[in-house]
Amino acid sequence: MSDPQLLDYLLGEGPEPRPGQLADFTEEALPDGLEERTLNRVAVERTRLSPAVQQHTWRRAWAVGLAIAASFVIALTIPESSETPQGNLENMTAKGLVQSAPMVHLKLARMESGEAVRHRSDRAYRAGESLLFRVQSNSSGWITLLNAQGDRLSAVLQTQVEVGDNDLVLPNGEIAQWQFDSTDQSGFFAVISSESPLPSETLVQQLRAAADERPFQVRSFCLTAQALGWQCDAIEVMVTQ
Amino acid sequence: MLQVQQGDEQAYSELFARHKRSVFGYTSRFIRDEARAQEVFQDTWLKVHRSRHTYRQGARFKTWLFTIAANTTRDAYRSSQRRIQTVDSPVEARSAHHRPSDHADLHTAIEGLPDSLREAFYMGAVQGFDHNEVAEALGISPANARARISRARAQLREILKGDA
Repeated sequence: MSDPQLLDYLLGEGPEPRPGQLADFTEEALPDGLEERTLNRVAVERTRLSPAVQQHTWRRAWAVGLAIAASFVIALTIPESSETPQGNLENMTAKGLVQSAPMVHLKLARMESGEAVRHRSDRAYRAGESLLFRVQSNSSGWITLLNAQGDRLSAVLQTQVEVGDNDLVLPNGEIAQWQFDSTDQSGFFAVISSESPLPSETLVQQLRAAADERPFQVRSFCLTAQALGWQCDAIEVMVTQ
Repeated sequence: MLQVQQGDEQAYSELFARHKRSVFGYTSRFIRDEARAQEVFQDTWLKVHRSRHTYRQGARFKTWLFTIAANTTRDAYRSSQRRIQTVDSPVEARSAHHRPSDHADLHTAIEGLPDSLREAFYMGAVQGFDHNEVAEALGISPANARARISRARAQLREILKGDA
């Protein structure tokens, strides 16, 4: 900082410096990834995700080692997505960037009296009920969980996944759950996979721009995502108030 | 900001894009550990989201933002100081004896100021907040804010003159 004019200004002895001169002194470029991590944290907060085990009676059991058992329960009760707009995924993996993204398969489970039970596409959710998420992937990478309700599309969570089944967890390591409230509408959850973390705001903006239908449609959403070069899976969720 | 209060994600992104560099400039000036500075930066923006309903219509957004940034940074900085003081020399002693190696390095000179003066100087002289805004951001009276900025400038002049 060798500019005498700026020095005089800061010491209260000179006029205001020219535009941009002060910014060089006050601003700092963000390190790689910081913007994305920050916006992801806010996105998680915005979507009201909370630890799955919170306020459930089996939390103590979890603490003493029943996590593995719970995992088995989920594995047994979560069905494969029946609404599979990406039924012809095999054909699509040959296209461009899609080849580098891990194949993903989304599974849902409903929390009921502290236990994970089978998600049924014909059963509507009510305020107060919750969902758990599991992603099956054929390679390690990153997934972004999205929620679509009507014309609204939002990034819920972004996390790393390994080969096989992955329970989606919050940044603090706890299993994530979606808690329905009175403002929720019917819609769908989708997962997008990528080799490296995607800026969630950019991801949502691109999907919004590319998807023709409003409200967003579960059957066409993943086709749109795949056309943009991402692997995708989506499951419809009905909500009643 | 009113759009942010109503849950407009795009508006939040625009505010973030507009102020991210100045907020990170602030946190990284006060916290030397880069990883910790990044955590504080994230915490600041999370608090902006959580506290959005406390923003008063008509208030200057940047003042409100830097109030959050200053409080978050101060908490982290003081915590850091406490840890440092258990294994190193007291921070006040470091500040009192610190002199910049190059008189042109105002950044280094500012780092040599006591915390209370440094905060006020950064808000008032560097960010350009008036005394009332500095007072609001730091939770002190406007007269106290003006006195701190004045003392900070006087000390900087001494540091820079003494090192010339």
